[in-house]
Amino acid sequence: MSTKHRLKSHFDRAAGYTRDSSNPLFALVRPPWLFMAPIVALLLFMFVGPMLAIVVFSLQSGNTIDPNPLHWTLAHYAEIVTGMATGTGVYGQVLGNTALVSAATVLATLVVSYPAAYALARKIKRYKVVFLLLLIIPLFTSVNVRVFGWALFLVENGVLHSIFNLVGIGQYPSLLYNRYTVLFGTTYVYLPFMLFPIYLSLLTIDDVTFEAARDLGAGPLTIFRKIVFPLSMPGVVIGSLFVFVLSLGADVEAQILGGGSVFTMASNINYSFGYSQNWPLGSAQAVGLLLITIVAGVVILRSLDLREIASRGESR
Amino acid sequence: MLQTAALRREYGSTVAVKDIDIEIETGEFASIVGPSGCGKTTLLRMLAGHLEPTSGGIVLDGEDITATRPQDRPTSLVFQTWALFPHMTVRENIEFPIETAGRNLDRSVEELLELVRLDPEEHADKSASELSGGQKQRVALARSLAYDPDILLLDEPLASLDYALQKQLQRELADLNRELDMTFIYVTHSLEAALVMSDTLFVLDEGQVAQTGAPEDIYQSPKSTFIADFMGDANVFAVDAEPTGDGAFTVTSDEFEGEVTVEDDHDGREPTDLVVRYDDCVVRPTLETPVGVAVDVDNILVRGNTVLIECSADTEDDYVAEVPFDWFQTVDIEIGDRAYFQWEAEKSIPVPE
Repeated sequence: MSTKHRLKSHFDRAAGYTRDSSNPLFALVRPPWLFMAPIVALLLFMFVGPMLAIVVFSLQSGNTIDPNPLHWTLAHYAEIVTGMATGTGVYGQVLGNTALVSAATVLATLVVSYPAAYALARKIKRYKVVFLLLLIIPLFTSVNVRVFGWALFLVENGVLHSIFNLVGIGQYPSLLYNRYTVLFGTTYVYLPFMLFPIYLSLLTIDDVTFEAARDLGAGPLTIFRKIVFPLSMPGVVIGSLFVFVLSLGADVEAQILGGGSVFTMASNINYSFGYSQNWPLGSAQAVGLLLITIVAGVVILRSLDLREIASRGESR
Repeated sequence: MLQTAALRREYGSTVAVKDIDIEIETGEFASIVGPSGCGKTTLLRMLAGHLEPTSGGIVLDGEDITATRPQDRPTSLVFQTWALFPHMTVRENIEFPIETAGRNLDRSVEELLELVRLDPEEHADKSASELSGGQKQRVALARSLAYDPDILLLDEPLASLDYALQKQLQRELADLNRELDMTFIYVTHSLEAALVMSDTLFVLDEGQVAQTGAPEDIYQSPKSTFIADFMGDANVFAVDAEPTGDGAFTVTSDEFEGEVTVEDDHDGREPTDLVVRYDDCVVRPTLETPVGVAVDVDNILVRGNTVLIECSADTEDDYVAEVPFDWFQTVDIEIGDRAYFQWEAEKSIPVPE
């Protein structure tokens, strides 16, 4: 204990202070922790507790929890992992579908959002707020509603069919119930999660940075390659993370647009809990999906230099 | 040589730069000075190509570069905020023009850093965002020099640095200008910076060049009260002038006693004001020079080796004398005294409207 602290505790005692910083209970009622208490309580109740229950369930052999841990089993994990590792059976297919849909959604949203984000951040000045609002408004509508709307549009004898009939194209392959329709659905639903991080990272680039680059002889392509793209990387990475993780959990899109023909991990979990009433198997899959999501998140976030991003505002 | 011909820039209905014609010799250190809003930054940005002129042209060594894009112009601008690329190291910043522009000064990053007095070993591989203000300024300068511009444009790059560092960098810039034989055009509102560094000074006022010349010439014979005022530390007296018939004027005023004869420095235009610099004036208990004015001593400020004596006349005009500290100790002047503010008649600078 430094002289200063010794003196302070001496004065505190003399002044009749009874708070002893060595008592952890006092630390818990200090304001910073008090402010955190509601969210911590909520997360403990809503996330940690149920997750523990799911982990325990995933080790059971039936739909009830056996109090004796010696009767617990890893059989469900073995089934899932074997299937996924060999790429065969339901789980091989589910993993393939999920990985394909997630990766392709990331790619598709990136290709569609980048130019738009660039235009909104750098070029469009008038009506910019209108454009941004139009991009946000779909988020106010439930995913189910939007996906069902699309299904009504695509379904046989639906809206698109009628339009095609009108212009004389009578026969065409079904547009619903295949992987690509699911991919279109996830791309549409998760687009804003890619667009806004990129838009925001492009906004942090100072106009004068562009002028400096031009001034030093750089043409538009060089500026994009050496300045704009590297500086928008954090947005791209975070956007990709959002879209990838959300797509891993894509369920509604798979069920409605895939119509039972395309199973993703999320829709298969849903199926296990609901239709087949195999809670332990569903739980094991849920734990697996969570692990995959966490690993993907950690890998993606590690590629970011957060300190560089934080220091950007100070570079001027 | 860089020339502008009736260069003009309008923003809506305001005219920021009004038909400016300037000429800057190759290798010259030219400064463009003027108060905020005089159009100096607008002018500089047009020279750099970042701003399109409303009308008029820019000619560099006989070639019209008015429509040349900034990336194709042999000019480089050192920005007020330096504009280093935040995601690059010092080395990458300096290599940027070398890699992209196909033109360079034929010096290595290390040599360039030494040129701007930064230790390459210590700084070359630091991230641009880790540097202090003065270091960023030097890197920005090295990066612009690496482009090997015919003309280096500087937009108050020292403004946000502390005073001692400003003084040091001013000297270094003047040295670099001589060493590289490159044209430097420096824009600033700080007259002091411009006086120290420049061969030629352009004083801008309301979008026009108010006066051009060597700094000392402008200081000695300002063309207008605006310039006299801008050049700093000047007492201004409104006067009536009578031509003497032999190219001079006899000048009298309601604002001081006595009369002054001045040469015609302004092509026959009558002087309407007399300017007397602070350090040409003194305050004594009695009038000992041919011209002076009775004043109350309002304030006395000791400024190191000089003393500022602030006075007010009965006309409620305020005047300031700056006298050597040693001299001040020989006169008997105190705050609240009635005294005479005075100067040698030949120190009067006549200024037309």
